[in-house]
Amino acid sequence: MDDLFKTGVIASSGMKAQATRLRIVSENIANANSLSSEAGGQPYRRKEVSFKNLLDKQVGADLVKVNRITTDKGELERTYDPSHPGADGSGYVLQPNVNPLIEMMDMREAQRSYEANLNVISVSKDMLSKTINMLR
Amino acid sequence: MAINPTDAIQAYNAAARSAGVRGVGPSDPMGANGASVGGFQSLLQSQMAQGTADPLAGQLAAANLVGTPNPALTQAPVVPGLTAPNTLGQLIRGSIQQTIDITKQSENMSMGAIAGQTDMRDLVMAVANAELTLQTVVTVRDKVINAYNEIIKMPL
Repeated sequence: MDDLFKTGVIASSGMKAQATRLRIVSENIANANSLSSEAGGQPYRRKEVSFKNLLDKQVGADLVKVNRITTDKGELERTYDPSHPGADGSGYVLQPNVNPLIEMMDMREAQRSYEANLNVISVSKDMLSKTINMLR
Repeated sequence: MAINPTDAIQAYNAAARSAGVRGVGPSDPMGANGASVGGFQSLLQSQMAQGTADPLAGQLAAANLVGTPNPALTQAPVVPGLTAPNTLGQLIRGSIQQTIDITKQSENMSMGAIAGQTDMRDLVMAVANAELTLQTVVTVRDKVINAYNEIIKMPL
């Protein structure tokens, strides 16, 4: 396989990984207010995604793969709201540990990384086309 | 995906050199990449020996590119790549077979995408690869057939 075709495969694996990351960010943002419905139960916990490199024998290069999606074990805030169905005996409700600012930065990172991979693809495609055009 | 444009240009230059036609791009005067040298020459020699020097291969190639496989070509042994074809016919046949395979792959991907089963990025890459491969094959075919026509017009 031509190196420039390989570039496309590698960059698209990076784009897939960043798409997964953005999906996790969107889950976190959407569930920022998901509380427990049982008294004293657990609310939504923030999810985190980690990546790893994976040698693809067919391509002969390291691709990116989503390693695992874990839940953030960070501390949960409590608010006093005795009327809520999820309130515990003393009237406190546990809040999700989603911080919108952190999610915003994660989203930006995913976007930038996706764009970088797209640029790699468009440059390699451009190089291939120009090589072919030499014949004309 | 297996067609390498750089190799294709080298193969064309080698064929053009042995046929006495000016090549393109950075020339290789020593013929170091001689894997394809003589492809054109051996075709011409064999056809001159048989007395049937007609532009058959070009016609077959042109007929095959639009997607109706010619039985004479599809039943022939598949040539693994562009690296060491013995004749011009084999060179064209091998590259067209690869183009058909890659185009079919991209069609399957498109069908999967319509059904919502294929990753969008895989689809885009497959379609882009098919486009580039077809472009390579068509360009090389045009160049080689031009060279062939020039030889046919040569006053003997």
